[in-house]
Amino acid sequence: MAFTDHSDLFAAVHENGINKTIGQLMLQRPSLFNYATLLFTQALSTQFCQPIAPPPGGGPLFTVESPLPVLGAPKPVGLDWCLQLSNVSIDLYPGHTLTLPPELDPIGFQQFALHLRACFGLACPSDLVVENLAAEMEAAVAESVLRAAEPPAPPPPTTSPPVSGGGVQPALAARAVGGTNAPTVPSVNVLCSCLDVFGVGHFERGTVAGVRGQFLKTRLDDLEVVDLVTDPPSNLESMLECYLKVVLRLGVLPRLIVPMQSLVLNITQMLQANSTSIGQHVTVVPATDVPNNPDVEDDQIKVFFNLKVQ
Amino acid sequence: MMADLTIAVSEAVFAKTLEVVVANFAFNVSGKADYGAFNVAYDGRLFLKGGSLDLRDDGTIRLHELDARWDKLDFSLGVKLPKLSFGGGVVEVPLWSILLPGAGLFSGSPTVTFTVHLAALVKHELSLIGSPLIQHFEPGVTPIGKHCQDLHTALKIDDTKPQWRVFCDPQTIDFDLFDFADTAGDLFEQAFTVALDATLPHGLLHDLILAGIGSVADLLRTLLDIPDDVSEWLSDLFNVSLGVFNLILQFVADFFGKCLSFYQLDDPFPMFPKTKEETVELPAVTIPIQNLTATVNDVELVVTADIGGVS
Repeated sequence: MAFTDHSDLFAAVHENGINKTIGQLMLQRPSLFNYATLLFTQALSTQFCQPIAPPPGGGPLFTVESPLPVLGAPKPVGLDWCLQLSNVSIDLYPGHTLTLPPELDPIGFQQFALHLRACFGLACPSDLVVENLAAEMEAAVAESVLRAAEPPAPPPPTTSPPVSGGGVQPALAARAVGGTNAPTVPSVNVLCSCLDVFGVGHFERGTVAGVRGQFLKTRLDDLEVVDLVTDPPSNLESMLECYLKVVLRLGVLPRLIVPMQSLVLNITQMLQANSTSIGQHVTVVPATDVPNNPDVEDDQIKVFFNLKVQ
Repeated sequence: MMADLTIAVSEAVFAKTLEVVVANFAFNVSGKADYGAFNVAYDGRLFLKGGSLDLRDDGTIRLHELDARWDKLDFSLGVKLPKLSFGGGVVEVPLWSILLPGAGLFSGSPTVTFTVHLAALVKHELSLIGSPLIQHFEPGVTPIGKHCQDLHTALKIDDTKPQWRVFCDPQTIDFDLFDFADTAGDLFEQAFTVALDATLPHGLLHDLILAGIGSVADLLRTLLDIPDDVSEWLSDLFNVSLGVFNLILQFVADFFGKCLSFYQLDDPFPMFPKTKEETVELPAVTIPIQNLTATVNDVELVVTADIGGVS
């Protein structure tokens, strides 16, 4: 059977190719897979949950994020943390490359499975450090309490513009603008916890409400976090899975929809851009008379296109 | 073991591509030169017609009988006529003399131009068989050859980075500088159509006879093209271009076919370009391409490649 039995053009990428590409991406752009606070560039550089190999072409090891805020602290202060994604791999129908948890195994026709390991590290300060900082916090509270007890100062002679974020407590406002430079509680010990996450999804074509044209959508069918076991059993795993599913379905996957129109390759326009004009309209369009396009099978993602000359 | 990447292009795509090329290709040529006493000029417009592209089980692609025609092909020869003088002068007769007026021709050195319209007589036809040839180019390692290197320098081809290069390796070429069969067939058809138009009003009988003339012209073209078809068949059979002209063409095409690639792919291939996010510069992400192959069968051209893993 020929590859082009049902279309003019055919392209396929094997799951091995996808996984090797992800491997290259993780090696050359580690900052896409590693997130941490600024202190991980200095004192905590050896405290990552998993060591990060320097990319061969240079560039940052991780994306700098804001510290994890200490809720309720009278002065803005945070904890250092890191989140590292590793072992990212894809398994396309019929599967068997990934060892899926029983809840997801086996994947169905046209489905793909995704695995990643997420390691979260929290820089946990020692009791002594916390005690010292607690004294600072008490002092800050005492100062503000005493200031509140004093008679109110007369209003300033000139009116100042309203402060952005009115109604927000000063401490919280300061924390909100603290960004990556907010002070953190010093610590030298990073506690790590890793979880294996598996997901199963599929591609589908369909419309989007209120928008003309067809879209290619990535759908999440199920998700499983492995080895998050509590004794006695609790809803912690289910809650985490629920949260991740909602984040993926509402936060990530809607951003990945692709208008089918953008998959049309306008050859005439491309030639015009290269100063060659032709009297015909030549386009490469996704084939619509194949049952699945893209087609997830034989451990490959296959796409079918037709050449149209008008 | 399945390749990481597979791309297949059907024979229909080749056929449609050839149709588009044929429909849109036009080549204008013109020029003139002045040699004092005479000057020459030419003016022509070449276009393509017909032809077919077949993919074959032996791994080759065949371009069959692609015709090149001239909409206009005019050659002009201009001759500057020298000034000529006749008679004139003083004639002595008894008692006096008579001054006879002289006559002059071409006093302004006019140019007489003869133009030959060759479009109807000059027709070309090209058939060739070739196959894709893939080379992994390593700068300083892959031999290029001096002449090819000179050509690369002249064409500003970058030979400093590793690339996969795809060449068209010509197996045989058959180029008819004068396509006798089509020329005779066209003249026959044109002459009889003009005669028919002059003698018979348009109508059913006219159309029937016109169709008959077309069929006879086609038959004539086919019969007269038999020697050329035999020559092409023999070329294909023995994988060698026949005829001195075709041998020279084959030599030239071999040089260009193995020197100038029609497609290049950088290895490693830059998948994500270098970017700058706020103040952080992110280098390009490149993907090593391995084992690039191109195979042809009678249905499609299949290109496969593997992606290099992280070592």
